[in-house]
Amino acid sequence: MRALELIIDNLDTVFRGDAWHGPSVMEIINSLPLEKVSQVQNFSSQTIAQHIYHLAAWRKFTLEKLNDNIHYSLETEEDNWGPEEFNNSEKFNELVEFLKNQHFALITELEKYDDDILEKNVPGEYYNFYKLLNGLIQHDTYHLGMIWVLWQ
Amino acid sequence: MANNTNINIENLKILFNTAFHGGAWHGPSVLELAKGLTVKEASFSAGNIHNIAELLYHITSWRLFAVKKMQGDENYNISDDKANWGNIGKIDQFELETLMMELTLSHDELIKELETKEDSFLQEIVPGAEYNFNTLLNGIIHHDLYHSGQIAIIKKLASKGGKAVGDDYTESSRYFEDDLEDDFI
Repeated sequence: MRALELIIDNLDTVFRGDAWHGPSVMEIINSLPLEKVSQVQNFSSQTIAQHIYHLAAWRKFTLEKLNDNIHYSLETEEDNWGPEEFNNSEKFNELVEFLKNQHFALITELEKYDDDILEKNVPGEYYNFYKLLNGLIQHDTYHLGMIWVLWQ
Repeated sequence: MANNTNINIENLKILFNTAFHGGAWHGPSVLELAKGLTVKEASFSAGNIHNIAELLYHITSWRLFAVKKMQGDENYNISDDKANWGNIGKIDQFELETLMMELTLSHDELIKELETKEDSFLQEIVPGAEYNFNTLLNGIIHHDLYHSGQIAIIKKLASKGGKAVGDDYTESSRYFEDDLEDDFI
C-alpha cells in the first residue's frame, strides 16, 4: 500500500470504527448521552460539543491547506472550539453532520493525491503534510480520551 | 519524511518518538503529560475511571505486548485485568517512579526492536492476531494518545474537581501552570 493510502485508512478507521486503540470518533459520538454534550465541568475549559467541533475545525484547516490556502488559520477561540450555538445539545445533530461533512470532504480530497503530497510543506506552516495528516489522527485519539473522561 | 530505504519504518520511529517524547503535531506527548506527576495526581480516583497510575501501567502493558509480538511471541497475551491495568489503586513515590521507569524502558525497547525491521515487516501478520504490524504499531501510538488525553483531563479533575485520595492532597498542581491545557491545537 502507498504511504498516503495507509494514512487515509488510519484516518477513516479512527473516525468510523474498528480502530486498534479502542473507540472511534463515531462510536463515541453515537454512544454519548445527549445531556452530557454541552455540560460544563469545572475542571475543563471545554465541553464535549466543543471538543467535537475542534475535530471538525482541524479537518477544515487541513482541507484549506490542501487547497493551497496559505492564509487559513484557526486564530480565535470560536475558530477552534466553535460558535456558542453549537455548544448546545439541541444542535448536536447539526454539529455531528458538520463533522461528518468535513471528514468525508477531507477523505475525498486526499484520494486525489499520491505520496508526493506527504513531503510537501503545508502552505504557511513549517511542517509537511505527513506530519499534519498523522498529527490529525493522533489529535483525534487525544481528544477522544478527553471526551471519554468528560462523559463519565 | 525520512530519507531511507526503509522509509515507513523510519517515519514510524519519528511518530513514536514525537508522540512519546515531544514535538508531536497534536499537542503534549506522553512524557510531557506524565513527567513530574505527583503521587496524589497518579492515585486520584474518580468514579469508574481508571486512575493515572493504572493508565500508565496499561500504556506500558500494550507497548510490551507490541515488543513481544515483534519478537515473534505468538502466545504472549494480556489475559486479565491485573495484566491490563495492574490493579494498582493508591501508590507511593517509589511505585510511581517504577511505573515511569517501566514506561520509558518500554519505549526504548520498542524503538530498539523497530530498528531491526524493514518496511516489508509492517505488512506481516502479528503472531497470534488477525491484523498486521502496521495496524498494531500505529494503533499503539493512537492508544498512547487516547489514554494521554484521559490523563490530561484527570489531572485537571484531580486539581480542581473532586475528592482526592489521601489526606494531604492540595489543590495546586504545577502542571496547570505549564499551560498543558486541553486546548492544545
